[in-house]
Amino acid sequence: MTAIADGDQRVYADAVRQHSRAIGFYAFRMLGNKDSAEDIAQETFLRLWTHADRWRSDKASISTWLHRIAHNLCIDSMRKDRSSQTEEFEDEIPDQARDAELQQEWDERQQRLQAALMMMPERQRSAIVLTHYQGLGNQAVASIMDLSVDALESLLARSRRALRTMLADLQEPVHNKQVRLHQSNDKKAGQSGPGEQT
Amino acid sequence: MTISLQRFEQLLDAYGASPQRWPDHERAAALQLLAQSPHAVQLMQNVQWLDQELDLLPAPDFSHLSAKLLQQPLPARQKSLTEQLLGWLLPLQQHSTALFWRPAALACVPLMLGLVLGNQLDIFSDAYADDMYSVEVEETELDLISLADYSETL
Repeated sequence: MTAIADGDQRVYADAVRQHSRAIGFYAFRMLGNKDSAEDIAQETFLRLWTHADRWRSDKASISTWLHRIAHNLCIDSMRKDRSSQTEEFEDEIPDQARDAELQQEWDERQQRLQAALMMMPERQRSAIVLTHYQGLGNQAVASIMDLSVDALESLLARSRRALRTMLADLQEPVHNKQVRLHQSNDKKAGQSGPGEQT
Repeated sequence: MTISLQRFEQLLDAYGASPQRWPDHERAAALQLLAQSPHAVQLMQNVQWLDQELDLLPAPDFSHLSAKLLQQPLPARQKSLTEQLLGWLLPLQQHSTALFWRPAALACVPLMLGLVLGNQLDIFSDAYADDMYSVEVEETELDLISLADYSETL
């Protein structure tokens, strides 16, 4: 980080390669839109470049610091434009083959889940995304969200309770369906070759 | 360390059913309780479905993102005056001669300042001495005149 603060572009490039996917995933989970997620990632790393001297190693890891920047940018973005995100989210559902009944059911589950996440208050959503999808520890998440660990646990419990309520009708064994669908997808992947590359 | 069933339930409520997401300092005790208590197993099974649902959500491919970000031009960093001064004073190149002569040049600044100020004080002192000398001469002349007047009256 000192090297980045001194303007070393090679070290900056290494940091981008190491952390950009995680930041992109986080922003996508928060905003439900790939383009917006890339914009957030871009702004996050620009701030890494311009504000690297503000990072303090005794307070947070680089990953935690970047997630905190991305978290604040996502919250700002959601507050600026709440309506468009939900509309754009619909376009982000992969256009997979919908002819098979199993695939259709699978897509519906994913859409329900994504919609439930998008309906949650932003702080609840962020707490779930940071702990469940980003795999960060409770102290790192508390630091990112500017909360105590106790307050984070309380927020997480509320978040999961809200999700359970919204998805209550899906509470049936998913494992068997998951296995069957993966088998189905593996067959399709074998037939169609590699996926998205842009 | 042990944890109560109530605390175990709180962990499940907050962090879900995956032990890797539980707090580090409580994980071992929670797993121990899970191994011993059928009720804990039951609690775990009750929340597992939500974790499985959350795991179903796909994410787009961000493998190209780093390349895309690195193509963006970086803005020039605005350094503060202090940073600029420190950067000039202590250049990053380890073997640069500037690493020696720049701090030496900076150290010479107070020396030069002292010389200039000292020189100013000397000028002031000479002028003052000149003034004092002229006053003394005038007084001597007056004394001589007064003595001359006295000698004439004798």
